[in-house]
Amino acid sequence: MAGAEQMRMNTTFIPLSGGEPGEFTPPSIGEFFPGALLFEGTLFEMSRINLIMVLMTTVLCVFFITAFRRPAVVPRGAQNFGEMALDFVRINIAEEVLGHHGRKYVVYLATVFFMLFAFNITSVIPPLQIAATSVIALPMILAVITWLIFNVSGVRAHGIVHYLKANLFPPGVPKPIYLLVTPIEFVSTFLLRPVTLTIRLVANMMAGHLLLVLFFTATQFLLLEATGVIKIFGLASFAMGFASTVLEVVVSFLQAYIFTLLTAVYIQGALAEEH
Amino acid sequence: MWSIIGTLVAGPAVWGIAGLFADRWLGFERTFTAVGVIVGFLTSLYIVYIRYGRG
Repeated sequence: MAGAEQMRMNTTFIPLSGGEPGEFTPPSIGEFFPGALLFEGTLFEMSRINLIMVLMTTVLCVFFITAFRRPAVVPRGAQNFGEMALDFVRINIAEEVLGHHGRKYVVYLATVFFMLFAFNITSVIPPLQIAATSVIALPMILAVITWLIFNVSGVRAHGIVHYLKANLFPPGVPKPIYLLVTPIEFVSTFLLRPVTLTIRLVANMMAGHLLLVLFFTATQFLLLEATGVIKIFGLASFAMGFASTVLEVVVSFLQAYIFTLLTAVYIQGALAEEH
Repeated sequence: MWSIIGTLVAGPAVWGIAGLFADRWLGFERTFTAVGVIVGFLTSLYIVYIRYGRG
């Protein structure tokens, strides 16, 4: 294959793969820090990931506005789908976990779920191909909001003294043992929760993206640039890439679901009388 | 489920780090760190029993 042709394949087949033609470059952490595309050098500098966030937010808004702009008693089309989607969060997450308190938190839970799903799924949508949640900013902000919501709910339901007492001093423990127990409870409830929410999401989306990039750059390299028998491994790599893509779709949904479910579980824990 | 894992991680972490500082302070190598991790783990098992195990 001619050099120019090869370059064209390199840039069109996988827009992300860098490196010289003829040598294989594995994906690196640089994947997650793409260069500025818009407003370079200003405060509003936008990379591909920022643009994906803006795009997916617009998509979500347009979808839900179209779905519920003129709601009919017998839902059709977009409204039908929108109601199914919202009912999934309301029934399977909010009411399942929070019972009659669920209704109050549906707004936040649904927002988090659809936002995360939309931002996760971009990892497999062709021109976008990176999850907006694979950089830490957005998951971190959502985890902080979740942390604020469950703590504020707990304090409002029980008052600050009772809330802290229920969380830090589990009943039925001999007094001296609290010296050992309370610091652990403090760290696991008030410090680790937002951290694990953030890391679980970011790590999953980062790993998924790296897997996809690795398998597809390897496929391209093996099929187009390797010689002889090694080319066959390109097919195996392509199969793995395909499997990872399917897995990534599942993970996108699952991570959005887990984040939302844990938010509901934390709120439920804060609202509950007994811990 | 997840909060149990959280507790089991937090236990050794909290008392392990406390032990690490105790080691630094008292000039031991790793004695208190090891004691801290074990004590923390046992305590977190105890917390899981108290919170979820007694039914």
